[in-house]
Amino acid sequence: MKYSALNLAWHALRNHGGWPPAWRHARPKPSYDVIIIGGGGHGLGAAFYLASQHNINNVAVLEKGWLGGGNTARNTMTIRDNFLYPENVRFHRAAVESWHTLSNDLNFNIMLSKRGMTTVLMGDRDLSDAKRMVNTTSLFGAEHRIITLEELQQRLPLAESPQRLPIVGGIHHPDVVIARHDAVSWGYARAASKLGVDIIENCEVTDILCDAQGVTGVQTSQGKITTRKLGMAVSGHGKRVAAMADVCLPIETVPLQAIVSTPVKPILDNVVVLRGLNTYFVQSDKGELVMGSIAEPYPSYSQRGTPQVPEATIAAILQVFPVFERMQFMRQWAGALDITYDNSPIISKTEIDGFYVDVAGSGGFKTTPLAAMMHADLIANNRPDPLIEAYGLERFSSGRLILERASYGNR
Amino acid sequence: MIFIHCPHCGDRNEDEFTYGGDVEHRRPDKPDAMSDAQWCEYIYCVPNTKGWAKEHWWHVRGCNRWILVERNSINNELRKPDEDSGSE
Repeated sequence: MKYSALNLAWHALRNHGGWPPAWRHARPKPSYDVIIIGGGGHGLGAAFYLASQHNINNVAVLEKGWLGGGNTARNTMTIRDNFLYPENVRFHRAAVESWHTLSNDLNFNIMLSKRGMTTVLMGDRDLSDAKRMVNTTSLFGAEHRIITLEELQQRLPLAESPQRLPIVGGIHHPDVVIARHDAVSWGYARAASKLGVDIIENCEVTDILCDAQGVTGVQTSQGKITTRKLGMAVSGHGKRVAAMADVCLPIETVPLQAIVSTPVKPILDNVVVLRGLNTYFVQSDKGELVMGSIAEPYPSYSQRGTPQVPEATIAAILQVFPVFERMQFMRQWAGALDITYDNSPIISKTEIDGFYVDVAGSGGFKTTPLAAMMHADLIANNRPDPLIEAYGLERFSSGRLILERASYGNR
Repeated sequence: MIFIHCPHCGDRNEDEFTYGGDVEHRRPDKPDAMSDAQWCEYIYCVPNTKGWAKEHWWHVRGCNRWILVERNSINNELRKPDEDSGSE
């Protein structure tokens, strides 16, 4: 069923009793042309693009839990492109653009909201780093620009400038958007399911089967399924799943926390980044302040994180925004983030023929549509698009790393 | 906040410590005899264990000694490692 204003009105008259399920709950068939492991935004997106752009419809998405229950539900919605290295700037610029038509492509409102981002710069070091970033990204068409203290105050009227913090100006990033994270996985699931993709929840992959020619299938909690092409879009457990095929991925699992306040009326439009204090926050459409920080100081699969990180995050925000002093803290969580040693993503073939991976986005929500599209293209054509050539696994043996400093995993 | 047991100082806050890596991830005995591929494997194939693992921690904001800790990476639960003293 197509979602439209007319349909909405019609169902409203019938008291919303007759909406069909958004996607089919499929049982696994014995064999598929392509299997995708991981039913988050990246995995469902890859299945959708395989079906919609490459006419490969005999596809299954296997999800251990429920759809979008991993890091698709555990991020801070912010979609940005302020990176430092050409490969990453180019990719993340294109990724931001890939969101713009997504609601239409999926016939599902992902609640894209163009907020813009304002980075607060403290001290000359911040300012010179910011100039470098703005100059690099402008080569790729980004409209980031340095703003003066006066303009910063206009953009963030709630901010105060405490004496002890040397606030010198800011950066304005007009292209930064936020999107409703759950809607992304639901929208992809619905659109993919409509094109014939089987979405199989509660189906944990327990082994990856290979022969001399490459992948032959997977063993799952719902039985064996055969395939010659296997894509993996797993976060937090990417290394463990890839190890089932004896592929060692150069990643570590580190929690990344976020904190949410109780909802209040709209008070803040921009995404605010306090660069030197390693903190950023945004007000969601529901009215909550969503606050984020840097990754935890040691690897863990715990989806809780340490208390000192939220403490430092809140302290940082209150220094510049004392107006939020009496906000109520609602909840806090951590996502298990797969981080590479150069903080850049991996979208790559592996040494096993027919086994492809899209992992370690280092906050991969922001690249969901483009990474999924590129992963699907890689699976369909068995060669990387120029946009993702730099994200191959071979960079770790050749030494051609992309040592990105502008990501959460920065350490 | 987890408390990490330092054999010299007792139970201390985790932010006095710095994580030093999995004990299983040993530096190669004969670095000169390693091929590039073996070096890559040593550098990039760290254990990343889910569950109990024995780890090095550095009590950097305490007694400044390296200690052995056994930690469950699922919930950050700690227990004393079977070999009592790993300090150097």
